[in-house]
Amino acid sequence: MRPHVHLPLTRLLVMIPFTFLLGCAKKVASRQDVQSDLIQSISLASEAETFTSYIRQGHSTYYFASGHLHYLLNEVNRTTQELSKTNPSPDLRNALNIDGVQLKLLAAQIERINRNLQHADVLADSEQQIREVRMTLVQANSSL
Amino acid sequence: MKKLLGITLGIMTALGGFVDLGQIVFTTQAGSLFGYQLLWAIALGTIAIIVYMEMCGRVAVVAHEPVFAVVRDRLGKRLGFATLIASNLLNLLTCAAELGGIAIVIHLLTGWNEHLVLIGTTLILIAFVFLCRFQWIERVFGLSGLLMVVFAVSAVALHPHWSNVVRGLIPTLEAADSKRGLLYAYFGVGIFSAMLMEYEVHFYSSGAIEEDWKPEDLSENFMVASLGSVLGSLLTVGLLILGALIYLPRRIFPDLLSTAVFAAAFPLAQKALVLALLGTLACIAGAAVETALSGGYNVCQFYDLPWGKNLATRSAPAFTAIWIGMFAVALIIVLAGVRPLQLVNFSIIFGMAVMPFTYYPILRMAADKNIMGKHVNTRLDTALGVGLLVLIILAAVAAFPLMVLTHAGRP
Repeated sequence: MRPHVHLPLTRLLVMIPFTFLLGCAKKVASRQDVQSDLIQSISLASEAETFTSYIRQGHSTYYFASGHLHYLLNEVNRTTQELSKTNPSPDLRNALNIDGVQLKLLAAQIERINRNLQHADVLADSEQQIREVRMTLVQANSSL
Repeated sequence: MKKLLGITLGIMTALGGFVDLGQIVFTTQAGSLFGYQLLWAIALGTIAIIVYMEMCGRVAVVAHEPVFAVVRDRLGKRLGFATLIASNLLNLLTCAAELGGIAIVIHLLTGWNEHLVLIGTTLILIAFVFLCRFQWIERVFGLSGLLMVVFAVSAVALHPHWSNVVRGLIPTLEAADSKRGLLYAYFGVGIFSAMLMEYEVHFYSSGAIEEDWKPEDLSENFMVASLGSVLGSLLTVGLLILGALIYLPRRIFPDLLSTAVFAAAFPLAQKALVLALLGTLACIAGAAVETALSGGYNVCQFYDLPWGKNLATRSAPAFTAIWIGMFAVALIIVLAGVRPLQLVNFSIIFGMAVMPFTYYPILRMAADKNIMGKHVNTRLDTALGVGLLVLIILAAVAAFPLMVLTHAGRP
């Protein structure tokens, strides 16, 4: 009986890495997946915009502002990284590219805000830039 | 007068210790996605936690049986052991998430290095629990958790439409599209689970024995379980309202602890932000302590080993080693880089799956006239207990599939 036990086991041993590789391969993203990515990016941009306005009103403490922006930046970078692993169908590629570019712009603005927490003029300018990022993302989402 | 003071203190402690990391994040997220539509899940969770917390306290007082002794006796050794493993794994994940949360909050308050804060606060918590008696542990975290009231104050300051809020008590089926319907169900289950987290009843029941409650204290048990939970759930309603009024119109999905805390300070100013951070810190530190101690309680109660914070360390060595071990392993998990909110998501859903195995034995014990005597469940208690248990089982069955289908609640 031993060979009967070995055969499926060998097959299994061969199949496991294959299955693993298939699982790791880039999955084709559906319209819903891309929409979900855009919704997440809009959320991040909107949060950055709201929080910048809050800092400008002098309502945040220095450490909270700095810490929260740091976490927000990590989240934006993580989302950008996840996005780069997405493999969309050709008709969705443009929306995904817009998403990636806007997230990079958002990350740059968050870094800029964190370096200039005391400078009201820089904060106002960054808030405006982030608003534009958000509007672009909203537009990309509604065009899907 | 002394009794009244004791009851008030108990209620305030229960109120302050009601909210934890999972509830803060899940409820704010639910509000940001569905407005007040999931208020019914909070109401249902409140009723369920009152019913089962009261039962656990009553069983502990009358039968002198804490939760895991009941689980072992009613489920048998094998299934009881599996429940013990699952419950303690859940406690461990929750403890890790709370420790991670503490480090984040202290970093936001002081700007100190998060990793050093994580190690430092874990050591401080271990020292504090080691040195203090049960009553002090319970009161320090419970009473300082009252600072969370700032979340409710902020919610009221935003002037919600109360008629719309009340309408949220009636479940509405989101049939617009299947994805939103699934998300609605996921957050409904998540809120229900977060309200009923098992460690709360492990800790409460063990506390009743630690504090040597007698049958004549059963009225206090009822008052603390009911009023403490109702007032605590009002804080949770505050979180939902903040999510609905601040984040929903701005299309923000609060995926960070700092975002959820920021909501409390949004309509107010800097002082409210600091209070919100301190309140959150107290609540999640309290939850970290409760989960670590619950780990020790559960194992010792299951194996009939000596346990209790009020015993000398030499008299309960296994208990002491286990709760310290829980802190240590939880610390390692967070240091390994797992994000606290990832852990919270998983622990809430995993917690739902384990819940029937804890609450069913409690219900049976509380309804057993031979053991409970004149303190046995009334018909209403049992009917409510059975009805809620059916809901818990349904939610437990749905929890994992919903988590997979919604990618852990991703909008």
